[in-house]
Amino acid sequence: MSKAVFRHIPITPLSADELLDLSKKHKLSLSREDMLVIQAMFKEENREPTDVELEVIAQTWSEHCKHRIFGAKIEHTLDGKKEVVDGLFKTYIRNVTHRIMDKKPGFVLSAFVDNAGFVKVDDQTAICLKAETHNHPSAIEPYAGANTGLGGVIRDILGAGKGAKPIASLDVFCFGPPDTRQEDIKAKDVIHPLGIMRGVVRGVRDYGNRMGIPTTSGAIQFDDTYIYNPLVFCGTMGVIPIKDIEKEVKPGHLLIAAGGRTGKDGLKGATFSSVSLTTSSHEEDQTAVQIGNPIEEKKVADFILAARAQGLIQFVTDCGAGGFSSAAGEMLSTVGGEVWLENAPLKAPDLESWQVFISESQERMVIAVEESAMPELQKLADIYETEICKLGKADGTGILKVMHHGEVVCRLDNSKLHEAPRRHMTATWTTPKRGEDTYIPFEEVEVGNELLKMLMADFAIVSREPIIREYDHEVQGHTVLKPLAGASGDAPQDGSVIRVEGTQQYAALSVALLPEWGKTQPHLMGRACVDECVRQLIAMGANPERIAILDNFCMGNPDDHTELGALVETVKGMAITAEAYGAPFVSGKDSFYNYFKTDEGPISIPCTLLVSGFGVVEKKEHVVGASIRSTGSKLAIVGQASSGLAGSVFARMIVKNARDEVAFPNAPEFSEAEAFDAYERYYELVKRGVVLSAHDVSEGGLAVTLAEMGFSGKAGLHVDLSLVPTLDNTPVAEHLFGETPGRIVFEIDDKHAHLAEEAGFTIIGQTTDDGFLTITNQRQQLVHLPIKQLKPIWQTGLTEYY
Amino acid sequence: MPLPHALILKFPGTNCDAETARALKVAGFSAEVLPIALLEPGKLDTAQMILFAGGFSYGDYVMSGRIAQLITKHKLGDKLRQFVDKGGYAMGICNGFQILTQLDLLPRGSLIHNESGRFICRWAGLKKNASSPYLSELPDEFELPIAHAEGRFMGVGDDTANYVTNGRAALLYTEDVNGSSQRIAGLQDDTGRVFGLMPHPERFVNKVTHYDPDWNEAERGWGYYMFKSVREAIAV
Amino acid sequence: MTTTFEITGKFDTESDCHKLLYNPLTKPLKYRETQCYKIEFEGDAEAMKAFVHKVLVDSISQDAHEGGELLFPKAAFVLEYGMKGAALDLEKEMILTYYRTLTNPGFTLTKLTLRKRIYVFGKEAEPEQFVRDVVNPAIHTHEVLRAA
Repeated sequence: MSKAVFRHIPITPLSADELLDLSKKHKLSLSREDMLVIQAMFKEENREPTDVELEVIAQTWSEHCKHRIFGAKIEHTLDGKKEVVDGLFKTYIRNVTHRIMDKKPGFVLSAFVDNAGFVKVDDQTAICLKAETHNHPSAIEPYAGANTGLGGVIRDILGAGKGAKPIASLDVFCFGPPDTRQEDIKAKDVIHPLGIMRGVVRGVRDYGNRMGIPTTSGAIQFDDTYIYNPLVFCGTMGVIPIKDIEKEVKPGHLLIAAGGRTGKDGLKGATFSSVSLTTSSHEEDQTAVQIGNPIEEKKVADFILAARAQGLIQFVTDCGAGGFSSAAGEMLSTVGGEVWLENAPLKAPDLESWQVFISESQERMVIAVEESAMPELQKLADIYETEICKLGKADGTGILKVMHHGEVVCRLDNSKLHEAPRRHMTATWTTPKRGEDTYIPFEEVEVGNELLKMLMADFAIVSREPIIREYDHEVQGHTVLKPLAGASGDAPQDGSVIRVEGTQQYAALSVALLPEWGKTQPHLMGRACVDECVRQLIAMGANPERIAILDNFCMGNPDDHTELGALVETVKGMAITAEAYGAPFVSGKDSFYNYFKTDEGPISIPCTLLVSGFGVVEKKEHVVGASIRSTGSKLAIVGQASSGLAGSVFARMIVKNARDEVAFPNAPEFSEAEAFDAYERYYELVKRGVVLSAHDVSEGGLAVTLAEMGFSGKAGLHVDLSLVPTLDNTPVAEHLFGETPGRIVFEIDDKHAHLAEEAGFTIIGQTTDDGFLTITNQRQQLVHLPIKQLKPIWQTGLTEYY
Repeated sequence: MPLPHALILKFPGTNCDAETARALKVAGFSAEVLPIALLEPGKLDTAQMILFAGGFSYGDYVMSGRIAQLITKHKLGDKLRQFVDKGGYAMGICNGFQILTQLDLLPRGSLIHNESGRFICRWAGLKKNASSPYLSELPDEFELPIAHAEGRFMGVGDDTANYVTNGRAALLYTEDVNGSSQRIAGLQDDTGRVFGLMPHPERFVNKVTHYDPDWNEAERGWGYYMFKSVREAIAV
Repeated sequence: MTTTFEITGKFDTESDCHKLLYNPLTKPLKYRETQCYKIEFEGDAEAMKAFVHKVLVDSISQDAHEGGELLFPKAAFVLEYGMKGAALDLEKEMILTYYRTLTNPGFTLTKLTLRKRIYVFGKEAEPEQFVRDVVNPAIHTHEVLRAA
């Protein structure tokens, strides 16, 4: 079309109900209150908005873009006591981070202001990390949803600072069990969990591998509650020279769009993810299904990194939710400027003005440059075979003016545009009562052996090997600790370690999520997720003082008071541990409305928190894997066991298979202060180079940790539980399979064992040459199994399905 | 004496160019990554080795390496053949090997989808089956990482058996990893100067990138010795 | 003019349908997958064929069958599917991009459609589960074909 296509939409005469109807009709996802504020805004200007303006405001204010629930004022009732949360983000995330930044000046270089948060590696180099969810699109088309999800977070990194280089990706999924029976799925047009899993993994594979970014870390949770709302988290780490972090758009800068073309394919994504799925989503929302084009993104990535290296970029950001409107909106938010929609290359010519401005077509970036840099930029664009256009210009007016073929289709005062009305919400949470745990006797060694074998085959524990091998985790040549490693190259690790290009240091990357606790113990879940993520990083050799984390939340219906209550408790728990560990949040994201209206009523996911983290490993000698390296070593433990099996994989397994009534109402306990003190002492041993291997104690408890350490095939392990430090009179089941946070098992050479003891750690056993995993309580054998027998159970648990 | 110059061709989707350049430099080359848009026949005269790096040229859509082969042929015509005939070296790693087989610079054969139908990222044991300027400093058996979806080498009739006998199949896997006929992992032409392999030597230049922290069979990673071998061959 | 090339792999064998489906079948079935290129063109048919063999077929590992008739009449049914009009087909885009670089192809490619065919073998094979698990209406269109 060679002219602007837009219309004015009369809103000033409408009643509140009519405004809400209008919002629904145009799929704006704006509330009655929002619409009234917009109406007042235009009444004041004495005019009606254009469709472009309404769409821009809807995008800007949508949950996806502004995270209004994390900004809301929440009246929260915990166990009958009322409290007011004056913004979850401000109170428990931003303020915690700012206090940590004050204590550790110079480590966090930026948090919450850019596409991703940056931390310092050395005087010249910083790294950054960002994680996103792409849940609803992945539920509708798993392959496309996952590949555009990964593509999107990679662009976040390319748009961080003046363009960071992506160096590693992580993927974390929550799916329904792969063996779900078709007849147990209570809604039509829901894709079977196995279809979701296969599609999502292939989507990540085909995008990540083609981009040449190693996918090095990940996790999968399986639970019935995710059948209708699978969760797909994608994250990417980047590296950048510190001098290229600061960026600013100044009057006179040109805005350049680079990469893919704009089309109708990318419409209504951002507002779409704020609306719950229903059985009809699959037919209605076809326009939301986009398929990523990794080669398009690879070309624009090569272009941006080359342009940044030549100093041609003043500012860059990705076209994510909201497309040009959010990218240009962000870049012109204070300075103001003009956008020329007719310059944007289109996939097909029939787009209306609002469609060009809002479309979320993939693989596009917007860059601010000096006008004089254009010839050099065009040269680079030709070399890397990507398309660029002059999208607009910053002018210093403070007004966002969007032109289409000479007509003004949108004119908004940026200061008003970014003031969304604040939400007021209600939350409530009741702490479950403590009670009597079912006692599990371990008189015969066969009991322990059988339970451990069952646990190793549980979907929560089994190897992700079939999936990990589909991802190129070694491209770029810097993956030092691989997701599967050890002497046999196939044993599990606590995360991954990547060499940071241009430095002599390394970055550890890990993820933690414990959604089972989200159902009953959200406060503990928040604490434990931060602990596990930080603990894994430290286990791998990261300096405990140089760790930063991200929080990604997914939950069901925030208008349900109990569901919101679980979120509030999670956030509060998470903040306590982060502050105690001095681990700042540098970025985060949230996803709401992960519930599904089936014929039998709505099904929500449990409140789910993913904590992903990165830490600096200062020397290659500090990198510690999770696989036993030698016979005759001693085994030591960091932390102590405690009673309580609530939420553990073991408890879930027992409950599922029990014939009699069983109950595990009590959760384990740990102290952040003690835990972090122990981590620092552990790190001193790492620095002395005496830790041979180390593995966190997490899902499946100590017995699973020990078995996994043995999967290198280098040695057997013998541990005596009577030596393991405990908080209380911990029963055997908790000793073996309990998931008390704060624990790491590590291997140390016999001749250095005294150093571990001097550092306050207890030696709990040794590695042996008999190839057995042996766990005793003094003389009583609790587990005695050849590791060779355990390993295939664990290793092949998913092969039937993937 | 100036360092031998290696030209690494970068197609849209090539993604192992940076680490390959890094590895070549460590082994004593001067290395230049050349985006395909800047490739013209005269460029070859500046180099002693042309390297086709790993990745997914043009997305590997249709089939791996096909569009890259067509574009290369279009840009260079017979120039690449002449470059080899005049004593130049040409190496293809992973996607580069796939491109090289399509460019008719290597014995007839094709790299098709792995028998499992999947992408495979792991380490693989390798053994030398013939002498090659690319393998002279390597032991008879060694290992390198592999990462590919289309690495199953297949020929026509008895082709692959013959390659094993006549030494064109310079490198074999020690076990079946992808269904490759005769376990062929790498091929050379009759001059030995053209060499393609599916494994990634550029990913194992330093010990620290081995999966086993106790690996200590050599001073550096095996990939280093592969690049060093060809570096020595060129220098002679 | 319109013609179809169906490409089969010389080294392909029948695979277990378990790979395609999400719930176990009561009876094991086998399948073969092929790739179809439906080409609408004007001009020299020989030039078009040369293009197909040069760009779309690997003579060492593949056979091209012109015409579009079902290749394996023993199949219980054939599920033919592909990207629907609005969905991005990356392979098609790449073929068209390459075609546009040709200065004198000798024929005009007016439309290209890519479809996959899944031939399912075995008595009692019914298409419903295959359609449900293989095809996603969010991006695909499909047809179930049976040999005459």
